[in-house]
Amino acid sequence: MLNFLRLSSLADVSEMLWADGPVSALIAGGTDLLVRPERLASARILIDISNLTELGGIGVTPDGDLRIGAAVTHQEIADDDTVRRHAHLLAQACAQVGSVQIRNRGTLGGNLANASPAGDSIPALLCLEARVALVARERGRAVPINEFFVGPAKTVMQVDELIESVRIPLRRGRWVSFFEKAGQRKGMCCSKASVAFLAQRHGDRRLTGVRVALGAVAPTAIRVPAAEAALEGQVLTLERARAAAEACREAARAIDDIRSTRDYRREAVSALLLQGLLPLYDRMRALARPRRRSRRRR
Amino acid sequence: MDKTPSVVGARVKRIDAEDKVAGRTLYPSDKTLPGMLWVEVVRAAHPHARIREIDVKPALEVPGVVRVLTHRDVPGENAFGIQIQDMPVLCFDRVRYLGDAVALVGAETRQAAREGARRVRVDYEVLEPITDPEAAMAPGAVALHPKGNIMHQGHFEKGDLAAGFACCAVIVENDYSVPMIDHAFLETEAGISYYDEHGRLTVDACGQYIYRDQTQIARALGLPLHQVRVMAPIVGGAFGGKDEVTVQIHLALMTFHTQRPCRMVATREESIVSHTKRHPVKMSYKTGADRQGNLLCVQARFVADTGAYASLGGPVLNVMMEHAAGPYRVPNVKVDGYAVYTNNGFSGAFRGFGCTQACVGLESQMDLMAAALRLDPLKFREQNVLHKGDLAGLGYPMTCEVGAGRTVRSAQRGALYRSRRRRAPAKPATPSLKPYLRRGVGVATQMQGLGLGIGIPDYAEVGLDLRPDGTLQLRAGTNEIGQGAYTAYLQILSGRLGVPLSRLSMVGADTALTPDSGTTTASRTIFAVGKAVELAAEKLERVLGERAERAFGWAPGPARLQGDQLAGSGGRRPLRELLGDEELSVQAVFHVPVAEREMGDGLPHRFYSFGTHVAEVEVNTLTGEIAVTAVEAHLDGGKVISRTGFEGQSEGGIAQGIGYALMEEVRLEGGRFLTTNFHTYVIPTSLDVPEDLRTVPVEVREPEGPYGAKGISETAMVGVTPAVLNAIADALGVRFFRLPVRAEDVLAALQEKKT
Repeated sequence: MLNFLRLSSLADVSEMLWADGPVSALIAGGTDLLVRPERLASARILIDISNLTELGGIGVTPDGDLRIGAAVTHQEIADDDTVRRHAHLLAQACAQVGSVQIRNRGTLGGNLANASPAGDSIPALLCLEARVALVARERGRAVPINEFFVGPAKTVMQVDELIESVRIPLRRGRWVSFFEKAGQRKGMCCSKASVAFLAQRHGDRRLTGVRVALGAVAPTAIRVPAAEAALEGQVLTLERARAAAEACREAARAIDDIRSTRDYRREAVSALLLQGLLPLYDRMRALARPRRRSRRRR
Repeated sequence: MDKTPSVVGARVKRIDAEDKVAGRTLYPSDKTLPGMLWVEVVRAAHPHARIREIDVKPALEVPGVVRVLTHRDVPGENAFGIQIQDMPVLCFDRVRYLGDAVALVGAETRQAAREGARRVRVDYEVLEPITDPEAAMAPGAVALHPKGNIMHQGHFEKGDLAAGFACCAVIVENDYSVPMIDHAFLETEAGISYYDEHGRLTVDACGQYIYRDQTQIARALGLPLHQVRVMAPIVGGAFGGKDEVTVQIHLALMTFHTQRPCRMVATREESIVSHTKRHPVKMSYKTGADRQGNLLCVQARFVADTGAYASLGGPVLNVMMEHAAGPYRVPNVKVDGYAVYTNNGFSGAFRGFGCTQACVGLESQMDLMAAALRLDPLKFREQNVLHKGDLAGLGYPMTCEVGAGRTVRSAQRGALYRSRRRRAPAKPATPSLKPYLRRGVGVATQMQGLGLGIGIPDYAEVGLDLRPDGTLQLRAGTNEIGQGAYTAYLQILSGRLGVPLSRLSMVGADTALTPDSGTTTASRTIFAVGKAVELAAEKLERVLGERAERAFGWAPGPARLQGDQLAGSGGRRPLRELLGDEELSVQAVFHVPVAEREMGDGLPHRFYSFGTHVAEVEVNTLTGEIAVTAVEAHLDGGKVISRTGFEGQSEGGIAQGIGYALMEEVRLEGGRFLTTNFHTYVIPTSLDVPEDLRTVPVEVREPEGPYGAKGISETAMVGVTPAVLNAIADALGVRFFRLPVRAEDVLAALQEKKT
C-alpha cells in the first residue's frame, strides 16, 4: 500500500527521508513519476513536496546568485523576468519542455532529479555553470551541475537528500544564447538531440565566454570544449560556426534507440548548433551594417 | 422537390457536444455496476508457441479472485472473426500473436484480477515466430493455419499489359513499403456486461456493429441471438480498430459463468498489443503513359502482412486491389495481391481499408510519370481521371456520380497549388535567416469505395417514433464514435420533416431498442443510414396522411407536422386528436444498391467518394525535420449534410494522414512490440498539424444518397499521406519509397544525394 504524505516544512521532509529514504519517492509535478508505474510500485511512501514554500521562488541571493526553487515549474521559469534577464538561456530551454501541460506541472528540480540524458533544462544549466543546492537533515551542500549527474537516471544525490534550489551565478555584460532541440514531433516530445549555447557579445563582434552543451547524445548532458574553443574570442564567421558544429558531432557519443539513431543524433547536434548560430551570425552582421549605411547617406 | 432547408449543410452544434464538453457523457470505460467483477486477460507470453498446459490453480488462490476461465469454459464455438472464424476466444493448443487470450480472470478488484492473471501458469513450447510475409508464403513454410499462410489472394487482369507498355513513352517502376500503424483511438477497449431485467446477457461495450457483435457473442456462448443484447451508443474513437470483437465475448463469458456484472478496461499497452492494425504492405508498381500523357498501364503487386488471424484482411486486400489504379482511366491493368498470415500482431480494418496503402504507391507513381513527361501534376491527373460511365481499374463501369475531375479542378484553382513554384518558405522574415528551409507543394487524387460493396448485405434500417406532442425520436443501430453522425441524421430528419432540431432526439446502438442499421464503418453511415432516415420521414408523412384520411376524412396524400399540429388537405388539426396518448412508430430500410457483377468479396463498390489533397511542407535540410505547413482538401462527398462534421472529418483525416506520412510506425521485433505505448508510438499533436487547413466541399450530388450525400470519412484521410510525400519530393528533389519519412531518413537521403 502506498502512503501519500504532504508535509508542512522542508525540515519535516528531511526527517522523513533520513528515516525512510530508501522506500520513499518525492513528487512535485509528477510528470516523470506518474508515467512510470514501476517506479511508483517500488515506493511505499510518496511525499508531496509541491507545496513547500522553501522550494519555491525565484530571486537574487545576497551573495549574487540567481536562485530558482526546486519546485518552480518550467512555465514559471520561462515566463519570469528575473530569469529572462539573468539566465535567458534557461528560460529558452524551459519554454521548450514537453507541452503546455507538462510545463505547467513539471519542475526544474524534478527535471534534474530524473536525470534523463534528454532533460531539456540540463544543457542550459551546464552552460550557465549552475550549482545544485542539496539539503538533508542537518546538512547541505552545493554541487556544481557538471558533477551532479553520474549517468542516465543517476545523480550524486544520497537517498536522504533532496534538491532545494538551483543557483546560477549572475553575469555582467551582453550575452547571447539559444536552445535548439530535435524531437520526433513538435509538441510533447522527448529530445532526440539538443544544443544549448551561451556567449558574451562584445562591441567589436567578438564572442567570449562561449559555452556549448549537448543533450541526449551521451549518458549525461555534456559540454563541448572543442566547440567552445572554435568560437572563443573570435568574430563569428560561417567557417567558425561550421567548425564548432563539427566539434559537436565529434563529441557526441550517441546511441541507437527506439526514438532515433546514433548517426542521426550526431548529425543533429551539429545541425542544431548551426541552426542556432546562423540567425546570430545574421544579427551580428546587421549590427555592423547601420554604420556603413549612415556613411553612405553622408 | 429537392429544396434544401437551411439545416441541411449548415454548421450546427452537435447534439452530444454539451454533455461531452461537460464530462457528463458516459463512455464504455466510465461505466460501473454494483457488485461487478473486474476481468483481466492472460495474454500470450510468446508470439508463437504451443500450449502444453494451463494451470489456473495459483490464480484461484489469490484473495479476491472469483473465477478463472480457459478454453474449456467456452460453451459454444471457440472461434470468432468477422469473415473467417479463425481466432480462438481463448486459445487451447497454440498462440499466434502476443495479443492472443489464453485465460480470463474475474476478481472483486482490479488489483486481484491482475495478480490472478500474473499467477496463471501456462506451459509453452516456444516456436520460431514467422515474421516475414514473403518467407511465410514460400512453399514449406510452417503453416499458422490449416489452409496455409496465404490467407487470401486475388489476381485481376484487364487489357493487354505487354502491348500497353510497348506504347508507353515513360515507364516508372518502384517498390514501396508502408508500415503497420495503430488506430490510436483515445479510449482503449472497454465495457461492462450483466443480465438485464429481461434476463438477457447484455454487453455494453465499445464496438462498431452491435448486431454482428451479438452474433459473434451468441455463437461463442452457444446462446440463441435473442438472449444476447449488445449496446454501444457512445464509443471513444475506433477508426476501424473496434470493428472486430475486442472485449465483448470475454465480458459475456465471465458474466455467463459467474452470473455477476463484469467490467473490462484495457491498458494502453494491452490495447496496442491486442487489437487489429493497419496492414503493413510491400508493394511493387509499374506504370506507364504515352507521350501525350495518357495513362496506359498500371501493374501492381501487393503483399499485405495480415498477422495472426484473418479478421477483415481479405476484404482489405480486395479494396487495395480495387483501388490499385485509383480514380483513373487505365486500359491495361494487372493486379496481384496476397494477404499472408504471420506472427506480427494482426491487421484488419482501418480508415481507408486498403485504399490507403495503394494510394501511397500509385500517387507517387503519378507524380513521377508527370515529371518524366514534363507535365503539370494536376493536369496529368485531370487528363486521366475517371468520368461517369468509364471503366474503372478492374474493368467495371462507374455508374455513380464521379466528382474526381471536379476535385482536381478545384485544387487547381486553390491558392496553395497556384503558389507551388515559390521555393522559399512563406513568412517574409524567414528566407534570409533560414536558408536551409526548403518548401514544397504536393498533390494526390483518390477515390474510395463507399459501404460494404457487393456480396455482403449492406442495408440500414431505422425506427422513428412520433409522440403526440409532435416531438420525434429516431432510433438507429450505428454508433456515435466521435464522427457526429447522430447529429447529421437529425439534420436530415429535420430537413425532410420541417421539424426543428430542438424537437428531435436520438437513441443509438442497442439491439433491444434500435433496428439493424449496419456497420459504423466504410464511410457508409451518412449515405446508408441517412437515406433510411429520409425514407422513414417520407413513410411517417404517408402513414400520417392515411390515418388523417381515415380519421378526419382528409383527401389522400401525405400530412405534414407543424409543431404539435398536423397539416394536410383538410387544414390543421392537433396531432393529439389523431394519436391520443399513443406514439406512432414507423420503420424504414434502405438497401444500398450494388454493382451489376460481383468480382470478389465486396468487389466492386457501386459508389465512391473522391478527393484531391494539396499539401505544403517545409523541410529543414540541416536537421532533416519536416513540417507540414498547409493542407487544402478538395473533397467530393456529394451534398454536405453537416458542414461542421464534414470539416471535422477532413481536419482529423489530415492529422492522421500526416502521422502516417511522417511519424507513425508500430515496430515489432520477432513478433514482439517495441512501440508499447504513446511515448514510443508517436502520433501528431496539434503543433504538428498546420494551422492553415482548408476544406473545400466539391458537391457532386449522388442521387441515391440522402439529399445527394455520400460519406467522406476515409477520403478525408487517404490522399493526405501521398500529397505530403509528393510535397517532400517537390521540396528536396529526393523521393521516399518507405513510410514514415523521418528526419533520419531525410538526412541520410540528402547525404547520399551529395555524394
